[in-house]
Amino acid sequence: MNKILNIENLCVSFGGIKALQGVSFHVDEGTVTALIGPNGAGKTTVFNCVTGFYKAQSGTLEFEGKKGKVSISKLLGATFKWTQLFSPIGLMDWFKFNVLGGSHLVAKNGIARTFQNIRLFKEMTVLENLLVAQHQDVSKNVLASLLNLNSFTAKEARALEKGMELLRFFSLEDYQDRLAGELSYGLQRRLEIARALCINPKLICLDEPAAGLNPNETADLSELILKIRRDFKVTVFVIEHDMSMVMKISDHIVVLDHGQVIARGTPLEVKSNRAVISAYLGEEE
Amino acid sequence: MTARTPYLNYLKQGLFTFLLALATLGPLAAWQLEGYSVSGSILRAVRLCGALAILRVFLLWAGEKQRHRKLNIANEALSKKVQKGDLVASKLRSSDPTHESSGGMFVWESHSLKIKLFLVALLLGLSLAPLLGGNYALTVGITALIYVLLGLGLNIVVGLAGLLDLGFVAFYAVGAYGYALGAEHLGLGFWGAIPFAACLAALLGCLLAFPVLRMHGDYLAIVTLGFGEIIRLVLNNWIDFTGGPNGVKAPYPSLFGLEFTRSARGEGATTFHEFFNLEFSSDYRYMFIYLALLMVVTCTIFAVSKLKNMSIGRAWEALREDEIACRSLGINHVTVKLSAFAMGASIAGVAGVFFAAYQGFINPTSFSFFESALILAIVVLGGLGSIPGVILAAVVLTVLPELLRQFAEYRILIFGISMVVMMIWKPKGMIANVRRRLKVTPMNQRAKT
Repeated sequence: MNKILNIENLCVSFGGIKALQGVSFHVDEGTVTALIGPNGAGKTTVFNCVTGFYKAQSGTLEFEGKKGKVSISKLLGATFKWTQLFSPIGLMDWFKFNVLGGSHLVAKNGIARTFQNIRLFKEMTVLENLLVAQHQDVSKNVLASLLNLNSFTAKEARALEKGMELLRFFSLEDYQDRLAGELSYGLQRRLEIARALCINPKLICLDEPAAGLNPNETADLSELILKIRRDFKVTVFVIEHDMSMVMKISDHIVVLDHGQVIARGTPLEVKSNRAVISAYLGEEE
Repeated sequence: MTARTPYLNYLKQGLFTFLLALATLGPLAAWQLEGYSVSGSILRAVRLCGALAILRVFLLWAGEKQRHRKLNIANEALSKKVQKGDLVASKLRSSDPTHESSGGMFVWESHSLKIKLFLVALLLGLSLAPLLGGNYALTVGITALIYVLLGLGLNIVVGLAGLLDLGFVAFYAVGAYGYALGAEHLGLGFWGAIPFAACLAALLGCLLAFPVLRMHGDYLAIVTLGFGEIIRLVLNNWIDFTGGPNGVKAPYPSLFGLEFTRSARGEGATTFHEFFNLEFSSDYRYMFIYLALLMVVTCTIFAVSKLKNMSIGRAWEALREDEIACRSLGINHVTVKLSAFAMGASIAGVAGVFFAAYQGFINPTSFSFFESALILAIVVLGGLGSIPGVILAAVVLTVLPELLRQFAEYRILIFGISMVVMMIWKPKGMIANVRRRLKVTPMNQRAKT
């Protein structure tokens, strides 16, 4: 199978704390891959590296994106050094990555994500949340907007239609005019996934999508994730603590502990792995 | 919508193009040089604008035809896909530009006809107002409109993009000095100064935005506060260039070369009252500034409300809500922030030009921190992000002190108390920002089909 995301020897440290020490694994295209592990194992750090919010100190992060293979570290540019200010090339690099570039380029290449603590645009309506996410696809021509030209209105109408279609897909169509912050927790989670899908991603990273949901909602969510993978043809990369859900939906599981991969494999393999049981799942009585 | 009434749409677009062309080209095209004299014929302008309108309708028609052709091809491809058994989601994913929206099924709710008529009537009433009111009322009106403009500018930065800017008056000062000094050193006229000042202020806005890109809230407020003071101090101390505390004289505006002074200054120049055989009165100058300002304010309101509802406006609001989520969706937060600062600043720059033209003389005391605070009060009191709210607040905050003149020393006190009461009573502002709603709910639509 085609590796959509390949991580090799990823190292991240914050001050003296080594959050990730040589993490290597890959995500196959079209699968649901789960990343599990105890709290503080570095799962979210991996996510932040993949989506470009943190920069890895060393290691390679390769993504088979919309425009071919890219290195995520390269998209983020080199770490800033003072000496850069005195060389024209360094200055250009600084400008390119700190002013024009950065983490949003990762999203443009086709990686979408949701957040552990939901990050919706709370004072905007549900539909507007989805329109913001279609920033790349709508017309940015101010003059066309002022004159109501067809080139502008047609794109805008299309964005509106796509937003409504997504809301229907996620059974949120009755809430389109409500403020996103007013929705119940479960609906907010769903809306966040819908918003992430708006950017037409190839890989969608879900950070604890079932946190705070009741068992019924969790079951619905499992269905939804499988449906998304099928209908939108995306690869799903998910962090989750709910073992029943992880075992049900994932094709491949990566177990992380203390910043290191301790096991990898299918749900069955991982379930019976001794190291995983002692570190995370707990001994059975 | 356009599919149902194409001809009405063509007529509307053609008429609009005609009027726009007449407004922009008319004054130029109507005059013809004959030796040393100028002859005017409105027919020439009308003919030219008519030709433009016809061209516009033709382009529309041709574009429509082209789109239909592409649509047919796309539809065929789509039906083939459906036959193959691809799912709905594949249609969702397609970024095919020819993928037609299903006939305007989802449309935003817009203002009712009544409100639109009321707004047009209000605009007409306001443009006729100078004939009724005296000199004093006119000056109050000009001040109010200048603050409306400033409020609209800061509303973009604070209300929409959520960047607390306490040094907004700096851009206002740049606009005013840009006009006064531009006239002195570059020979800029009033109308030339407006785009010049807007660009200058926008450039300065970007300059300010770069160092504060990573700042939020209180820190941003402190830096912008410092920026505002820097500009004021530079204006105060760079005596050779700006005249320092003595200020600088700003020329009165002119209308197509007609001056609003008692006697013409330049060789061969005529004054407004001589040209129209009127008694000299300073009222004409105020009337002219008032009408020009009204026009600019109307255009700004139109432009800002359009911007608010397009990608850039949505990105501003999203940035206010959550910057990290913005980045995760592929929105470049740097350019979005820069554009908010630049847009707000350029509107303030235009307001500065009008202020200088109206006062005829400017010095740094007009651009103190108090002004920034007043503009911020207008935005917060009116309702963050709300255009009608900001307009109302600007009018109230400029007219109220005038009405309270008889209370002299209690003026500021009453002013302050009313603001505190307002904030407790209506924390979201006088007219809270309302979000757009969809006109057609998909449920009804689906029931029909």
